[in-house]
Amino acid sequence: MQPDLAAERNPGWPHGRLGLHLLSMRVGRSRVAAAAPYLQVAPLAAVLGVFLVFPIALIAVVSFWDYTEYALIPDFTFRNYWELFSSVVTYKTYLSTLRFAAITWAVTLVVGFTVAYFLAFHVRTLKWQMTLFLVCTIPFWTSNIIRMISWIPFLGRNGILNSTLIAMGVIREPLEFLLFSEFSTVLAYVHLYALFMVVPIFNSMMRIDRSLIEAAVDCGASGWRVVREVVLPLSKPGIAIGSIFVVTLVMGDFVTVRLMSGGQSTSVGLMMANQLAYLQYPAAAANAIVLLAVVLLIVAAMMRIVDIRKEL
Amino acid sequence: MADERTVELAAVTKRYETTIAVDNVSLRIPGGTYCCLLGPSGCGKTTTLRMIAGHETVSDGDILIGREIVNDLPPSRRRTAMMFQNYALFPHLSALDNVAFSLKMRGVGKTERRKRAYDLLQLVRMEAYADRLPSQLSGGQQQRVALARALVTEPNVLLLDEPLSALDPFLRVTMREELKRLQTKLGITFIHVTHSQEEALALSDMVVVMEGGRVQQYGPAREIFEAPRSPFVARFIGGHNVVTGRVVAQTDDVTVLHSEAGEFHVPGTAPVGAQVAFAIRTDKVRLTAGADPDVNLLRGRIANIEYHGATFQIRLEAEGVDDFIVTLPENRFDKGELRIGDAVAAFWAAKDARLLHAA
Repeated sequence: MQPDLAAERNPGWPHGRLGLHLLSMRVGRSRVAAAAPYLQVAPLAAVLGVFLVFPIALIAVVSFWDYTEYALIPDFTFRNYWELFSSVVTYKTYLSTLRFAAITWAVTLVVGFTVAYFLAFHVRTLKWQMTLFLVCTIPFWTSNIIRMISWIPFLGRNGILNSTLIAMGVIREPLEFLLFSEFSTVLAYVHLYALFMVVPIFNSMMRIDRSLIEAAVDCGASGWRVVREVVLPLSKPGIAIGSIFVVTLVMGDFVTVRLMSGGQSTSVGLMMANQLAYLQYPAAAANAIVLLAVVLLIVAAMMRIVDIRKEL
Repeated sequence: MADERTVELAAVTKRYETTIAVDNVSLRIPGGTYCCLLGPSGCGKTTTLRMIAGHETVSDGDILIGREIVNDLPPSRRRTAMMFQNYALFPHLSALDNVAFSLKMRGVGKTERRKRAYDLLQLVRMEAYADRLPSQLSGGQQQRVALARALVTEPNVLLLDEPLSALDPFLRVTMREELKRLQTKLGITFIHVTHSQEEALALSDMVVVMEGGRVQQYGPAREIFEAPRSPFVARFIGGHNVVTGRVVAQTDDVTVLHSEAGEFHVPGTAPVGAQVAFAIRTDKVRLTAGADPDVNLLRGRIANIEYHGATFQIRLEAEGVDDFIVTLPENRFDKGELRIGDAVAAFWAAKDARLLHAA
């Protein structure tokens, strides 16, 4: 292509020697312009890279290492995965963890939805909504461990609940299932994580246009059907986000199970903690990678059911 | 049949803790009427509508639909349907399911309700968009769906809360026509809340002008425009100038008023010495450079000239009146050369003025 032709086509373009010089400057500037978006995302990418991608990559690498009682041996072996998948204990533990996750999810969903519904639709003024909402967060002002341990004197064999019930003559013998049982574990989970369900559902509900409720009533919907046909479907994104919180938290937990089940139940997290205690880092790493995969699958399944992007 | 569509308010009052939103309103809207509740914001028109719909409780008085007192009936048992200001379509349901919602609540089977909803979408010419979600529809389309949803239960009375206010002016005129067409076709009572006098005049068989929770005047649109009874109605309905003065003489059927603006003869009677107001339509006034009769002559200065297409609107500043508007047809405006700042006199025939009662 002749330079004149280019000039004709695009009279704004510089030509000749000077033009060539200007052109190179322009290219230089446009290179900076092209890099700008990458520069803008660089800080966040760096943070995520250092604190998320790198540690996970490290765990993935270590999961293929070999180990003895006293040493880690850099290697590329499937031993850890093989041992993990060939043990019945693994499946039992995963099943038990999934069960805890499912029960906790169901209970927190009911509690969270009810609390959020009450706050969003039955508390009339914004002032009271915010006040009650803050009241909900009060348990979060102390640490998880304290909140769990405080159940022990309440639920124990000679705890407040049992002695009260005996004093009232409701029961003769103390109830054994109250503490160090699946019951107490689920109770602690619900206590710890219900708020993670309340917050996103409340957020979703606050976005529901109040005239929609009136419109539904105008169309002949009863109170229950308004919830079923309008509030529930429109709260779905919040329910999905809350579910992701609760399920991932329970799936990764080990302290609650250890403290509240009294050694009667186990969880994947506890299994890993034990492996770490025996310095079996590669085995724990392999376990972590499998757990990560399982949780990602669960989250992916939830995202398929509900589109949460609208909410973000 | 005609009976069931009649809406009657008997001394209806709505009190909130500190304020009275609707104050002792009595009104009878005959079946099959297109009725507009017209008034500025806060005049109680929407509250009145919501009480008729059953979304607001009545503090005092009775609401009758047909022969039944409906005060304590839930909205769905009043055989009314409401169209909300922002349409309030369910965002998670398609247009068709939105329309079918009421039928679902009434336990109509799926095939049956989908068929009837589709028929209604056809009525509002939205059948092509049956599967779209509300967010995929334009404002006008959403409104048609909302209309279909309200009509699907075959209500006796349709209540519309500022249905056209969210639309652009062009669409507003189209939808206005559509509403009128549907009302004529279905023969049910429409009660339409609006703050636009233009909308009310264009649509209604019956206009109810409200202010401060009370009905100021009601009647056929033309009657309201041609014979406003109070200064408020004359000002709100537009197209009128309101002039106040003191009655100095009373002969036969003519009241002579005196004000800073001049001496005016108005048909009608009023006690001598009283302070009264009269209205004169802006299009009945003519301008002159200086005329002989000193009666019904208002001298002032041109403060503004607006071109309105077929007419010109000229605002005069004169002693003793707030604003005095003169609407001149194009051809008359062209004859005289008028400029802002010119001293002119406005005059009109005594028979065109109308005595107003204090509100």
